[in-house]
Amino acid sequence: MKKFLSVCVLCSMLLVGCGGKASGSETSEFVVGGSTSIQPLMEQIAESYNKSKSGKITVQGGGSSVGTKGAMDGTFSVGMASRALKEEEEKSLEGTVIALDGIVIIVNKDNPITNITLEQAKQIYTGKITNWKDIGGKDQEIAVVSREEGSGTRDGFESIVGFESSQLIANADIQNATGAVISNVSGNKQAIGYISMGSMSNNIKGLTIDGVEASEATILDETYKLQRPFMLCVKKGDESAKALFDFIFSDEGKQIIQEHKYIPVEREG
Amino acid sequence: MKSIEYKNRLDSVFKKIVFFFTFVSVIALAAILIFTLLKALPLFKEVDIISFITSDVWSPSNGQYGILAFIVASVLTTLAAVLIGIPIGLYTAIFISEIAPKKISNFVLFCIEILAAIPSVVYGFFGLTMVVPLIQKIFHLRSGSTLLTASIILALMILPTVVSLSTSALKSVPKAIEEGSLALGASKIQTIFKAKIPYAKSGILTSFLLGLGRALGETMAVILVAGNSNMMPILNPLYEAFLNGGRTLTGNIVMELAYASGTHEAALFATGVVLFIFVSLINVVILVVKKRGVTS
Repeated sequence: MKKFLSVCVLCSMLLVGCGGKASGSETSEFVVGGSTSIQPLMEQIAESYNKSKSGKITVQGGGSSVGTKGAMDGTFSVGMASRALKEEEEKSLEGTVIALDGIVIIVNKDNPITNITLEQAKQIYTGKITNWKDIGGKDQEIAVVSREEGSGTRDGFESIVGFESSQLIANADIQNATGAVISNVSGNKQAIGYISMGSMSNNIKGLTIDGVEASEATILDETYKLQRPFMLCVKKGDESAKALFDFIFSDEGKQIIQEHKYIPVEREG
Repeated sequence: MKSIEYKNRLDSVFKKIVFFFTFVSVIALAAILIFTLLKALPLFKEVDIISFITSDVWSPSNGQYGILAFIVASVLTTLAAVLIGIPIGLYTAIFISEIAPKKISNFVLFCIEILAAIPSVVYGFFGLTMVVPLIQKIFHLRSGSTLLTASIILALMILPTVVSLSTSALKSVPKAIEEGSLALGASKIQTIFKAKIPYAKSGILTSFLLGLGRALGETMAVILVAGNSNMMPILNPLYEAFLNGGRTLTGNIVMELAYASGTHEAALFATGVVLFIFVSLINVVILVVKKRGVTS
């Protein structure tokens, strides 16, 4: 009987454990939302910030445009955008660049190509160039690898290179993780893909863009074109996020940015 | 001493506990179904259900949600996987249950069971690093990530289901059937194909259908090798569909769920509902097949 009882108690304990409350309360007063590229970084910043400064920041995704719109209409206290602000957004928002990210166009190591222009990249990704020989490579069809809709890297790549999501060549392989893009390109001599600079590995070859190699230096001096700013934007005159910005530009904040393999920047002004 | 009354009470308590635990799975099913339906509902404020299923344009950033391409890709890969997997699986089952000596059949069965225990991501990674380059080389393709590659991997993955269920169906054929057939002068192979397989057909058919369900629902392995492009498979000529990439229903959900929000997210849940309908249909067919097997 004792055994039976203890089994019962154990089972009920397990059940209680499973049915635990859904995590997190939604009643936080400070919401940071927007770009899904910045989201993982921001989540960690928020976690450290909440711990050390006893703040109550929650982070949401949605995309850069959701971020700027949310900051304008007050849904978010701070909006995240992984692109420069548009003119009409700048009228009501104040953007602060907290970090920079480079996107690298990658090919297989056996591919003789070493350089590409943004225009060529655009034509390849929109299906106007379909053979490597057209940009000086072997006579082989190009296998285009892209990221899934909603991915911040895809959004960043498409907006810098300059085409719409719907223009992407229809037979492009789609992968939903950087690792999958890398293994796809490293296993296919005809493939081309793009990844965030921090994820570069030795299995693949990064192309220079207009002759400039992606590095911290070339991104900071803006000679490397395929880069994007990570912006946090607040309504003009809104000072409520000052403590958060102080934290991000502190040594601790910069360290988190570096851990995520992005490039920290100095505070402007 | 424990009284009879005490024993009866213990019995009824235990019955309740068993009943409760049984109900957990039923409740789980209901919860999943309701949750998926509720999450899918917001989509149909913006897109009508017919165009969701019959349009092949999937472009969430432009507010276009059509999953016909994914339905076609799912059906094609699943059918092809079953077509490849059935002969291999059925003949393996015949070998194990009828032909092989006990030691060898035990060994083969053991191998098949290991095959069932391999996580699907390992199948996918194997496919990505071994089968994808091979397919690319054989057919001189731009990329080896094709629906054919996915079908081959899926065929491997449904083998354990087909083999183990077909084997037990063949083994449960009464001895009298076999002896009768042999006594009438049929050879061993004739006996297997003309007497035992017809007798065990509902069990074997069930194994095929369960394999079908497994192939339809498989996700991780498929997204690693299928290419996941959201274009409509080329149906004329049909082989073009298999030599190009494509995205299955499950693949679509996993592919985009991470960053989706609003209508886009609802569309992914609606994809799940469509998948659920397909799986339910397969299960209904299984029930019918089983029932017929019992009555005949």
